[in-house]
Amino acid sequence: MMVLLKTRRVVFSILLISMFALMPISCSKPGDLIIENLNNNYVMVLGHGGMGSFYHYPNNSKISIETVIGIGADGSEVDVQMTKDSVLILFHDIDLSEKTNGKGNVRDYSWNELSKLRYKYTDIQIYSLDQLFADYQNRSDIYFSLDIKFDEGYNSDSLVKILIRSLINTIDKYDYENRVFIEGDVSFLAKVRELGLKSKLFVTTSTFDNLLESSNLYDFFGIAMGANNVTSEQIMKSHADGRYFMMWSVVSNMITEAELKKGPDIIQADKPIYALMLLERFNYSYRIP
Amino acid sequence: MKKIIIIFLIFQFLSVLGFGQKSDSTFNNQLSITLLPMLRPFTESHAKIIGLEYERNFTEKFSTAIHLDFGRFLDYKFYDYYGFFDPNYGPHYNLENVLIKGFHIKIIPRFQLYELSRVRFFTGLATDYHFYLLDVEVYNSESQESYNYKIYSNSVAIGIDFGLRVKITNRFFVSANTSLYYTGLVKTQTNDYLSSKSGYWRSNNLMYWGEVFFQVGYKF
Repeated sequence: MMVLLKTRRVVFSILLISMFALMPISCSKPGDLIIENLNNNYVMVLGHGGMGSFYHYPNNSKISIETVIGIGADGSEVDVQMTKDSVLILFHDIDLSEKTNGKGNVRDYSWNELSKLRYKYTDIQIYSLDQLFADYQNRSDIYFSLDIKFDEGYNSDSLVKILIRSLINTIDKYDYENRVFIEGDVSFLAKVRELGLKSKLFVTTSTFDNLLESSNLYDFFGIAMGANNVTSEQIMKSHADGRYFMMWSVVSNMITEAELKKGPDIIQADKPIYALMLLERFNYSYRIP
Repeated sequence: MKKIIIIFLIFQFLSVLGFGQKSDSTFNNQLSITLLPMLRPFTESHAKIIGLEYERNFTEKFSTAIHLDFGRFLDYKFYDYYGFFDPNYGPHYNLENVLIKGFHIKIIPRFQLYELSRVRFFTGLATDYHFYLLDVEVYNSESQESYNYKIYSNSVAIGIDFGLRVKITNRFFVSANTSLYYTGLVKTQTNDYLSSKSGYWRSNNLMYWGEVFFQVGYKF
C-alpha cells in the first residue's frame, strides 16, 4: 500500500513538472493574427477612457491616458462634457458624486470650481480637453475619440451649439482637427458638420443598418458600435461603402482575437494591455504606474 | 549602503564555505527546478527563463542555497504605427525587436523557523547578482532603414527570503518562497539602469523588487 502511494506521488510530481515545461510550447504566437480593414490591415488601438474601467486610476484622468499611450496605444477615447462656463472637461458621469468629492451635475459648476475637486480616494484632478490637447500637441501620431455626453438640461438647440463651438475652438487652438474623431448620434453629428468642424465623424447609438444608412446619407467617416452587436459581414459591408468601423467591447470588456478578426479599423479597448499584446504592439519596457 | 552590501557579501561567502560540512541527516543535498518562470510566456513578454537551485544542509536548521535563473528575461516585438488615414501609403511603423538576456545568481543562507510533520518553514538572507544585455533592433518601414544598439547592466541586490517546503515523498518535495530585494550596486554601460526583470513586483523607483518562486525538488 505504501509503495503504491509513493509511486503515485512520484508520478504526480513528474506530471506536474512536465505540464509546466510543455505549457510554453502550446502558446500561439500573437503575430499570426490577420486582419482585413480600410487601414491597410492595421488596427488603430485606442484606450477606453485611458486604460479602461479595470485600471486602478480613474477613467479620463491624465495618468490613465498617459499610461495607455505609454504602453503603445494610438490614443484614447475620452468622455467630454461642458461646464457652466463652456469649458470642456473629460468626465464620464453626468453626476459628480460617485467618482469625485463633489456633488451635483458637471454643467452646474465652472471650470475653476471643478478643478478644485479630486477623484475619490486620490489626489487626481479632473482633466480638461484643453489640457489634453496641450499635452499631446506635438504628438502627430496620437488620436482621440471624443464621446460627447449630454444630460436632460441640453434640451435647447442653442446649448448644444455652444458645446460644439467650444469644441471647435479647442480643436482649432491646438490644430487637432485631423487627430480627433467625434462620436454621436445623427442629429448631433449633423450639427457638428453644420458648424464647420471637419474632424472624422463616427455615427453611433442605433442598429447597424440604420447607422450605415445615415453614414452614407450624411457622408460620415464611419460607424461606431459594440463588438458584440456586429458581425464580420456587417463590417465588410461598411468597408464596401467606404465607411470606417470603430469597435468597442460590450459584454466581456475585452477585445478578443475573434473580434479583431471581424476587421475593425479602430478599437476602443477596456483592457488595452491584452489587445496590444495580441497585436504585438505592447511596449513591455514601459513602466505602468 | 555599499558597506552593508559588502558585509552581506562576506557573510554569504562564509556561508558557502560551509558547503564542506556535513549534517547528520540522510539527504544533505537538494536540487530544485523553478516552475514559476515557465509561466512567464503567458504573463509577460515571451520570457524564457530556466531556474535551478542547489541547496546543502549544514545542520538540521541551517542550509545555504545557490540559485540560478538564466535565459531571455524580455523578448518582444513592438510595432508603433504612424500615418493612419493616408490614402496613398497607409500607416507606417517603427518596429522594435527587444531582447534582454542574462542571468541572476543568488546565494541564500536559510534558517529553519518551524517544522510540522511534512512542512518546513524557513527564512533567509539573500544576495542577488544579475547581468543583463539589452539588444534592440529598430526598423522603420517608411525609410526601410534599421539600426541596432546594445546596453549591458550589472547589479547587486540584497534581500530577505522566506517560504515553506512540503515533503511529497522521502526524496521529492515542493517549495514556495518569496523574496524582497533592494538593488544597491549598479554598473551599466550607459546611465540606463536595467531594473530587475526577475521580479513580479517593482517599486516606483525600480530599486526594490519582489520575487515569488514555486519549485519542485529532489533530495540526495
